[in-house]
Amino acid sequence: MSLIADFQTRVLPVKHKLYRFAFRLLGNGPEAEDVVQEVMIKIWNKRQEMHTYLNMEAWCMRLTKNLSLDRLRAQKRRKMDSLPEKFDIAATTASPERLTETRDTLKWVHEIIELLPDKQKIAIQLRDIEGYSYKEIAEIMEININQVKVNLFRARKRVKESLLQATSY
Amino acid sequence: MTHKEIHSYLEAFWRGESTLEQEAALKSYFEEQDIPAAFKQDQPYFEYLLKEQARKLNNPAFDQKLIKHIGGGTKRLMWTNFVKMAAGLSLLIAVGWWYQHSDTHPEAAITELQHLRQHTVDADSQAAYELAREALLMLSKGISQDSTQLQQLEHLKQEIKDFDPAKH
Amino acid sequence: MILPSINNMAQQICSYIILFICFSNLSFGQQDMIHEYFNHYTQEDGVSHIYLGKDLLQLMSRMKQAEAEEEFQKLMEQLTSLSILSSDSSQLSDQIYREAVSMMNHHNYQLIQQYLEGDIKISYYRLPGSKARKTKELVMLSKGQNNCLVLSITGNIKLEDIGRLARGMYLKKIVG
Repeated sequence: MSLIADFQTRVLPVKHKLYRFAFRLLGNGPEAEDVVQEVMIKIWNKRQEMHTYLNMEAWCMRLTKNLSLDRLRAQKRRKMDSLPEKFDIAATTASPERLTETRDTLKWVHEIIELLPDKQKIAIQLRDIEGYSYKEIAEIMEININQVKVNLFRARKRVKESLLQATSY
Repeated sequence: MTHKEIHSYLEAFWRGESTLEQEAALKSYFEEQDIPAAFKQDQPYFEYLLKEQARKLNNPAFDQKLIKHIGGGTKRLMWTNFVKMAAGLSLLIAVGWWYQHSDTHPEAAITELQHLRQHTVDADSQAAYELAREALLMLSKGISQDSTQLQQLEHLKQEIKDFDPAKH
Repeated sequence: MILPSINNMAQQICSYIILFICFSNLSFGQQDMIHEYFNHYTQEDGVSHIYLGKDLLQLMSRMKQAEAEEEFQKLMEQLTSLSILSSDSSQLSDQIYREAVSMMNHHNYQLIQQYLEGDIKISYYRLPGSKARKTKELVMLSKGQNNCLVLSITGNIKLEDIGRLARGMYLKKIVG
């Protein structure tokens, strides 16, 4: 197999995980794709690195996180502070009465997660969607395991509270 | 899974105390069509997670754009370093990928994996050995106040460069 | 459709990977200072990072080499990592060097040697291990005008063993 064919079959498959992660942070496909391109190019440029198998994937995810957050900061769309404890659900577009329709329910959940602070959003993405362990998440987020647990707990709590509020009309 | 188990897993989940196995069990449970009323309010979140898991980068132009950027260089030395990196990144992924695509040339995939491992072990561990050796010698000269330190530092830097000839 | 022989090969590969993962988890405890404090630099252009983990070091300690390599290989067997961070960007080099010195001062690293020759400064630091006379991490920091290099080895190291490589001498005076 040629060099390029090897890259195609061995490195590119990880792009889906990276893409989902970038998409979570940036909220749109084309920008997420740009970030994943950047990450892949950086992997290629740093190909003399001799990382262990596990470190390499965490390294890629960490790079994706950092590049995505850099973009966000550059666009001044979000800050890394937490939101106040209660936020206004009425401000979101999906209305409680129509929650019985699946499509709108999913939109509703999406909006709830969109409104979470970045760290909580990342915790949800890495644990609930990608199924990483706490240790792996800590490595990707560059925080300690306790902080991972706190962020995950707070994120799930907000999701639960929002769903309860929405379904108790 | 019993009603009681689901209830207990869900409690643990919302408390942030569930294990990965319990979470996987919950995701699997909520894929079913008939969810009892007791769990109806948890359903939207798990449905959402399932949907998001399926999100993929499906743009065919993406791969082409990337390949174009990194170029078609096939210098033998670059191959060595890329094989090293690719093996490092992808041995784990490749098996998973292969399982998903096992209807297309499984034998070829396995042969390639074999070659990749062997090539990495033979050619590149020697390069790594030379590098490690110079690094240890550097440390040794330093702490034993050897006067040829600067010379040794140049040797080490050369080894680092040789580790990735593409940097020349 | 999966042929039986390929199934066996796949199982072999999977058990290799599982063994590797278990082994990696065991050696997760000790992080070298580059991973611990300089991880963000590894992603910068103009910075090279080379990391040899425990598995590779073990492999190298068992490779067929000339007889004179015995001491090197014995040492490689004891190490848990060898990590190098280098930069030839003037700006990044200054930054990395300043941060490294500050970090070592704040985290119990002992300066054991320092040399200045022309415009190159080379410093050696050690992080004491849990037992007396043992070193958990040995770091070399080199700073030139437009470049810098950080070299770290971790393990349960005896400095005498390292010193012996360059000359046949024991270094009891350093680890007193």
